[in-house]
Amino acid sequence: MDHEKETEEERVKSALEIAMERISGLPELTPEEIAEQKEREYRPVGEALANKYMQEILDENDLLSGFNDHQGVAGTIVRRALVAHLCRSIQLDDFQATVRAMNGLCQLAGDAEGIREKANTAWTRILDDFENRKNKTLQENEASERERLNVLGISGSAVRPNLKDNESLKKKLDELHASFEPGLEGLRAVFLQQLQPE
Amino acid sequence: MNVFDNFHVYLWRGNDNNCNTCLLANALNEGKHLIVDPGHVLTPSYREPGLERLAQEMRGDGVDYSSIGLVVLTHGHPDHCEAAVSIQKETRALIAMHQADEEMFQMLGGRVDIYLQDGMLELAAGKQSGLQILHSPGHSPGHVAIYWPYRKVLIAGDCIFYRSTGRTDFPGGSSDMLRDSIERLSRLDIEYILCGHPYGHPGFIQGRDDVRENFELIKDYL
Ligand SMILES: [Zn+2]
Repeated sequence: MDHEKETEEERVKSALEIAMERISGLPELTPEEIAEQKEREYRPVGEALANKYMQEILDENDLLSGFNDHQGVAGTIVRRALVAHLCRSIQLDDFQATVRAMNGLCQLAGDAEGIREKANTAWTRILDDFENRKNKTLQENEASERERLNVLGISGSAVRPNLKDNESLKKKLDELHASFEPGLEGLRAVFLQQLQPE
Repeated sequence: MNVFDNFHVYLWRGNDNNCNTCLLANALNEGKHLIVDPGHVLTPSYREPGLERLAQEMRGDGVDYSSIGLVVLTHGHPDHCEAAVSIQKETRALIAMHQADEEMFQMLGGRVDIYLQDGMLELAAGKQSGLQILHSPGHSPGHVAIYWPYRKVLIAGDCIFYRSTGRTDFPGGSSDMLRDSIERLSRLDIEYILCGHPYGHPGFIQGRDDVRENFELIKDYL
């Protein structure tokens, strides 16, 4: 009986030993792998925070406390993801989202170096310039469509060409958007420099 | 049937539901025609060839189907504009209608080139051919009636029928709006009304007195 018990213990012990040996046989994670693992763990936290703020589930104060919630490397990753997401929301086509993202970013920056003023001035200038050029493009396109209709013998105050499905206009507007991207990048950089110094 | 000048009316005589159509021949440059409400390609119940009959009648009038350059739609219901999709594909004609009915037309596979709104639709044939577009919602949100001042013709679509008015129980319909629309149309100086359908009458009301009497009678429905 005793002999049998000993054998059982030995068997269990050796199974544990085998497992330990296997674990000890695994190579250690490299610093890069550890960094990647942390990134995978904390980036979604920052993105989720930004998402909830953009969807108006969180307000600017919630955003700020979420921003300061995590310490060390985790905090850096959360903040970077959060700021990057808000910066991506700065888009010419979505005025409301842009204003919300900028308000959030200004809150995070705590108005360091008058960032709110700086960003608002830059955004207003970009938006005004874009709207002016977009309206000009639309007007030019409408005029050329009206001219095309005129050649066919169709004109008058009841007539408004459908520009929504106009391929050449779409192309022109795409080009216009692309030409404003560097300006938007500059605006995003104002926040990135302030909020992601590391 | 050629009524006068370049104005042709094609009254539906089939057994199934389809709309009345009219046409202004050579109204555009290069001898292109303007057609209003070409109707069904095939009627829904009896499969009557609406578009084929229309093209045949046009040929009888010496009007070439392939020279249609502009299709004006009074509204987006299929019994008025199904054939417009075929005409658009076959003749590359442009389509004009009010934007509020665009979605219905898109559901049939059509694409709108020109949005119509209150104002004048001027045509190549000169001042005599100018058409007044009157947004007249009620039967549908984007319904328009078309008034030709030179000949005092009202193309009423489904606003006004012979001794009756259009239905308002379709999506986007409104009896209040229809009443206001008809009230507005009744103030025009009209000698001819082309109704959208031949209900109890071919649907082409001729003569100032008959037009006036029809307005008086339908006021009771509003
Ligand atoms: Zn209808």
